[in-house]
Amino acid sequence: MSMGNMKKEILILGNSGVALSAIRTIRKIDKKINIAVISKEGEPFYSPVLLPYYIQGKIPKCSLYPFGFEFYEKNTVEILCGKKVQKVSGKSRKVLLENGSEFAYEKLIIATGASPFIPPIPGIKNRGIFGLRTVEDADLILGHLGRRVVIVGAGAVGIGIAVALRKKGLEVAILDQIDISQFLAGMVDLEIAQEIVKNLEENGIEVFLNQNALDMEFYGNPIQGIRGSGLNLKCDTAILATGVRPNLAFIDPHEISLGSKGGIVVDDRMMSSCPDVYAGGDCVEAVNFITGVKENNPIWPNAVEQGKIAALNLLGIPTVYRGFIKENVINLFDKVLFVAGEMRGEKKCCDERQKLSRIISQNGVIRGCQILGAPEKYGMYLRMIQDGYETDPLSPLFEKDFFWMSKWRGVKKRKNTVHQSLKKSRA
Amino acid sequence: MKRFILVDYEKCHGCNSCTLACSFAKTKEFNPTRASVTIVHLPDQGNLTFPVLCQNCLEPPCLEVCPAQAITRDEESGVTSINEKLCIGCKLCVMACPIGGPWVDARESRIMKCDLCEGDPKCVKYCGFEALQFVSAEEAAYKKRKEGAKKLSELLKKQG
Repeated sequence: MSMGNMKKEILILGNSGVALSAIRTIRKIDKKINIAVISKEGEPFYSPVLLPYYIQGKIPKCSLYPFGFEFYEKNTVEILCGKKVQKVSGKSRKVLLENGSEFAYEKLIIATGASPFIPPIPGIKNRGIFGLRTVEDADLILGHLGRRVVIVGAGAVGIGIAVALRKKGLEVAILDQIDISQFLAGMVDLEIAQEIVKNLEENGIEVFLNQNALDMEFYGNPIQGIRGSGLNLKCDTAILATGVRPNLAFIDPHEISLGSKGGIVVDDRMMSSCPDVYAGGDCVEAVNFITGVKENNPIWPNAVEQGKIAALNLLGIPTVYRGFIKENVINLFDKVLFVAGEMRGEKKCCDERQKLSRIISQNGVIRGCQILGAPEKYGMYLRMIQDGYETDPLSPLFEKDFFWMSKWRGVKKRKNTVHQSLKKSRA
Repeated sequence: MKRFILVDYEKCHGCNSCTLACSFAKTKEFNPTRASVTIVHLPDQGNLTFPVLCQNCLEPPCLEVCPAQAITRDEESGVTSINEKLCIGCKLCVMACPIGGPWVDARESRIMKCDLCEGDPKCVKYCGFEALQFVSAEEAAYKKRKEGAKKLSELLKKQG
């Protein structure tokens, strides 16, 4: 549905996880209320989670767009694509686009996501140095890929891209400045980190940690390699996966407060500091359910949940956002890593043949989990963390379907907004 | 008419006929670890055995989270299913489900879940103890109320 000039009842900036989730939630409840979407990209909805699988060649391009533009027609949603926002004025409830158009709104959802940090070197993409966040990035990479690629950044995204390109048949190396003790931002302990690196190396991915970032430089145009601190890695393509920054250049921080990572700070109704301006997804800083501290958590399931809650509150259905739990699934070679929660506390290991597991608890309550091995029913561990299950006795935790087991053991779980593992320590 | 699988754990004897029937129907192998239903054995809780399977939720967390939109819900049957052609195996659905509905079939590199066998669930067919029943919501409610009334009447009789 093309965009008219009338005031929008609900205006959504962004067209990814939060937008899809919000549209679905709103339309389940109200088929008539006006919804409009403004997207900087020219495409219908897609999830960036699919991009490594696309560059691997596992899925065709059409699979990236499961709905096409018919989705917006079907759901009576106005959409304006390929337009960037210049300014949001919360006070006058107006959004100004770079092309000069202006749209008034009653309620706004800011869901513009985040972008990979790329050094502001002119012409960097023409040299073969890319980020991977959009379909455009993916197509540029596919058009440029030769035989050897270096991924800068050994985080969840970097590893995912490395595995995908290795499976495609390329020679792959990963670089990072961290030490192995800081692998995956402390979400895995040293032993699991070492196993992950081993899994990558055994399958032909070279891993170089402890690299001095200040010393590194790309050389060649188009890129021939990366060198510095005694390392010289030849490559024809480099992909930067060192973290994402919220896309919020159009915000006035005096009007819409930003947090330490530059994300919009939201309360437990997903509302920003400006009335009727909601926000969700990779561009916000919302409360971490376990620590109680607001953080940026740019992962897909987070966006989906926050979009839903923002939409409910925006419709006048008060719904408390209890906070997120950091969670991730990383598909390695014949092994999967699952991590969730917070890793500070008492650690108990339960290793079996081909599987390393860790449960982290504090004050007898589970707060974190790391599993490396064959895939399992991860959602149950997440549920245990969410509901603050008590961890004594521990041994049943690693049996399948312990979720039901803990119910029968009379383990108490409480529906509080403060995580159980923190409560007792305050007493 | 929408029907779903009603679990009556008190009737379950842990024979695993359901898991064997399911795995055979879906993978051509008799292997309880490759079934969409699992029997949880609780040896020190009165030796309980508990069938656990996908509940085909009204608002499925697996469907909501899938980035490939590979999971859809059929309005008529109420079944949530995974489209193998669109599924990329990211396992976000496995992470989203609180009871272990979707599971990874490592042998065939795919994600599976209970799909009610197109209206003729094998686990129900081969359960010899009526621990699994394929019923409509009205039938389920009636059965539960009938059993509840029986239990209550026994309790009242004891009280005299």
